[in-house]
Amino acid sequence: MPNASSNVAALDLGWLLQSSGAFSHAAVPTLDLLVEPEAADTLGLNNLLALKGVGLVFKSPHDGRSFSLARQLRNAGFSGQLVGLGRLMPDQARHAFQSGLDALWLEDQLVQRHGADAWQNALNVVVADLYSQQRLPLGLTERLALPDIWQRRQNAAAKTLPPKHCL
Amino acid sequence: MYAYDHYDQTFVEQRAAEFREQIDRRLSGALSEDEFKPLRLQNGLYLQLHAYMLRVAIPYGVLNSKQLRMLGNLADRYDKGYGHFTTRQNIQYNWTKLSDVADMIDALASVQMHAIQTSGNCIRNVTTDAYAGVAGDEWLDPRPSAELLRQWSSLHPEFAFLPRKFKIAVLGAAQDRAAMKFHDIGLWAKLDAGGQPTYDIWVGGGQGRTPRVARLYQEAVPLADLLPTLDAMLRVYNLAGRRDNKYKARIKILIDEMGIEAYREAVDEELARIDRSVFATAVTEYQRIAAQFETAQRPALQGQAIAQESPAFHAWLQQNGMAHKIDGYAAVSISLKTKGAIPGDASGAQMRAVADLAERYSAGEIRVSHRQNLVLPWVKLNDLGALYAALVEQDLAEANIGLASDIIACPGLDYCALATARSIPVAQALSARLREREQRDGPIDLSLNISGCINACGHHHAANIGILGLNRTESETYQISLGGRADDKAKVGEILGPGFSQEQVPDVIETLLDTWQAHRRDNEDFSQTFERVGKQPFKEAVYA
Ligand code: SF4
Repeated sequence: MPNASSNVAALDLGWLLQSSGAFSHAAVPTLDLLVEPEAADTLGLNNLLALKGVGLVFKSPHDGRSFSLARQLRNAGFSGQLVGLGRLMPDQARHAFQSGLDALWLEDQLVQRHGADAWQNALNVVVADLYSQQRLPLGLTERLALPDIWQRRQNAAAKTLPPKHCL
Repeated sequence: MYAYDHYDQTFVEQRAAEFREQIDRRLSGALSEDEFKPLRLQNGLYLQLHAYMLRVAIPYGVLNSKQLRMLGNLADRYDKGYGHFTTRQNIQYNWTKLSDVADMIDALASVQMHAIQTSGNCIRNVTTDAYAGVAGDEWLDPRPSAELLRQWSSLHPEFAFLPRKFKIAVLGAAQDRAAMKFHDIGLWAKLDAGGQPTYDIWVGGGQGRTPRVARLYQEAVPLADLLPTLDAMLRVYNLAGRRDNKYKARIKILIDEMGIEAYREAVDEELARIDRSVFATAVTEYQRIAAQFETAQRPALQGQAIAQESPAFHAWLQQNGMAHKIDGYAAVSISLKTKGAIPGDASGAQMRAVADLAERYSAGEIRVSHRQNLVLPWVKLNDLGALYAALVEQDLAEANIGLASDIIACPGLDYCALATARSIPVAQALSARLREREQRDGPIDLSLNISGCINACGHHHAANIGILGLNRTESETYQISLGGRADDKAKVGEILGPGFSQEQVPDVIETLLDTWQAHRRDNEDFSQTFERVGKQPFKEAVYA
C-alpha cells in the first residue's frame, strides 16, 4: 500500500470546488496520495482501491489523462474521495465531475486569474447534459437532474405510448 | 435525414452560448491563449496565417437545403464569398474574425448545425460514404451508426483532451468510399444472420509523417458492445498515448510501439471493468435514429426514363452519376473541381444555387463527399436532363468525378500556418492541364492528391499519384509518390525520388500518365499497372 505522499502536506490554502457546486476557501482535503498520470501504471490500480482520498494531478490544460484515470478508478470500484489538482480551467470542471472526480482543489492564483465567478459558475454555464451519461458522483447527479438525454428521450417516448390495450 | 428534437437543439444552443462566453473570457484576458487554444479548437476555430479559420461540422456529410443556404450566406457575410469543403466532409471559412465567431455559431445553431469537435485533440466529426443510404452496393446504411457516434462522442467528458486528434469513419457498403482504413478507428458495419448490425473494427490508420493503413482489431462486434468497446479503446489510448512528441501521439504510434496484442489485452482489461448500464439505452437510441433515416427513404418509382439528351449530358451522367439502390432514381455528383478551380471551394452563390436545385430535384438533400465534391442523392431519372441544364448554367456540370482532374488538395501555404509549400496553385495548374487532356484523350481514371506539408491533410499518401509540397533550401519542392490508394485495398504510396519545382510538376505528371498508358494492359487501373511493373519505369521516365 503506498504511503501518504509528502507533497500533499506541502500544499497550502486554496479553493475547493465540489461536485455539489459548493465553492470555498479551504485547505486541501485529506488525501492519502497524489497521483501524477505517468506514475499511475507503476502504482497499480489495485493498490489505490483501498485508499480513502486520492489526488489526481492535471499537468497542463491540454492533458486529459487524469479524467480517464478517475473513470478507471471508479470503474474498478474505488469509492473514496477523488480530488483533481493542478493546471485546470473552469471549463474542465464538468469533464472532471462527469469523469468521477468529487472535487477540484485550486490554488489561489488560479482562482484569481480566472475569477472566482468563473469557477463558481463552472457548472452552470457549461453544457451540463450529455447524450450518454457516465455514472456521476451523487452531488452532481442531483444538481444536473439526471438522467442523460438518451434516457430522458426514451422516458418521454414511453409516456406517450398508448395504453397497452389499445395496441 | 436525422431531424433534431428539442434535446439535440438545446444541446447545440447550450454549446453555442458556452463558446460565446469562452470568447468573452479570452478577450478579457481571463483565459490565456494556451488555455483558450483547446477550447477554441474544440469549437472548430483555428488560428491560421492571415486570420482565424472556422471549420463547421457537417455530420457524416449530410446537409439539407436550408443548411446549405445558410452556409452560403455565412460565406458572403463573414468570409470573402467562399467556403471550402474538406476531405472530412466539413466546410471551413478561411477569413473569419474572432469577434464574428459567436454570431456565426448562433446562426449555425438556428439550422441545427455547429462546429463542435471539428478540430482539437478530441473525437472529430464522424465521416462516412457520401452515397450512404443510396449506393447500390450497400448492405447497411451507415448514417444511423454515425449519428449514434456523434451523440456518444459529443462533449464526451473523458475524451476532450486526448494526446492527439481522433478520427472515426463508418462504412456499410462493399466499396470503401470514405478512406476508412486511413482513420484512427474505422468501422465496417455489416448485418449478422439475424439482420442486426455488427461492426468490424479497424484501428491505427492515419496519414501524416508516419502513414499507416489501419489494422483489423476485431470482427463482428455486436451493436450492444460497440460503445463500451470504443470507450475502452479510447481510454487506453488517452492514458497510454504519447504526449512528449505530437508527431508520435496518434493511436497508430501507440499500436506500433505496444503491439496490437498488448493493446487488445489492455482494452479487454478495461472492458471487463466497464459499467455497461451507462450504455443500456444505446441500442434503443440506434433504433430511433435508424427509423428516422428509414422513413426518409423514398419509394421506388415506376416508369421513370432518361429522355434523349445530348452526348455531353450522357458523358456527364456516365462520369458523375451513380447507380441508385432504389428504382427510378440516380445519385449525382456535382464537381467542385472545374478546370483551374481551387479544389473544394464553392462560392456563396453556388451553395445557394445547389440548395435550390436540391429542393427542386433531390428531396432537399445534399451530401459532401470525402473527395471534396457535392452529391444530390435523390434525383428522379426523368429530372436528370433538367438538372444537367441547370448545372451547366451555374458552371457546375464538370464531368470529372473520380478522374485525375478531380484533385484533392489541402489549403497549403496560402492559408495554413503549418504548411511548408503551396498546394492550391499547384492544384489549379494541374487541374487546367489534366482537364484539357481528359477532354482531348478521354477520362483518366486515377486519384491525384496534394498536401502542403507532411501532415498530409491532402491525403497524398493515399493517392495513385500523391504530391507533397516541401520547403528545401528556401524553395518549394514537390515530392511525388505513386501507388497509394484509399479504398478497401488501402495502401500507402511509394516515394518516387527527388522532388520537382512547382513549374515542373504539370510536365512531370503528364510524363507519369504517358508512362502508365505505355505500360497499361487492357483495362488495368493505375494500381494494377503499378503493382505489376513497379516504380522503375516511372522513375526512368521522369528522371531521364
Ligand atoms: S497538409 Fe499541412 S499545409 Fe496542408 S492543411 Fe494540413 S497542415 Fe496545412
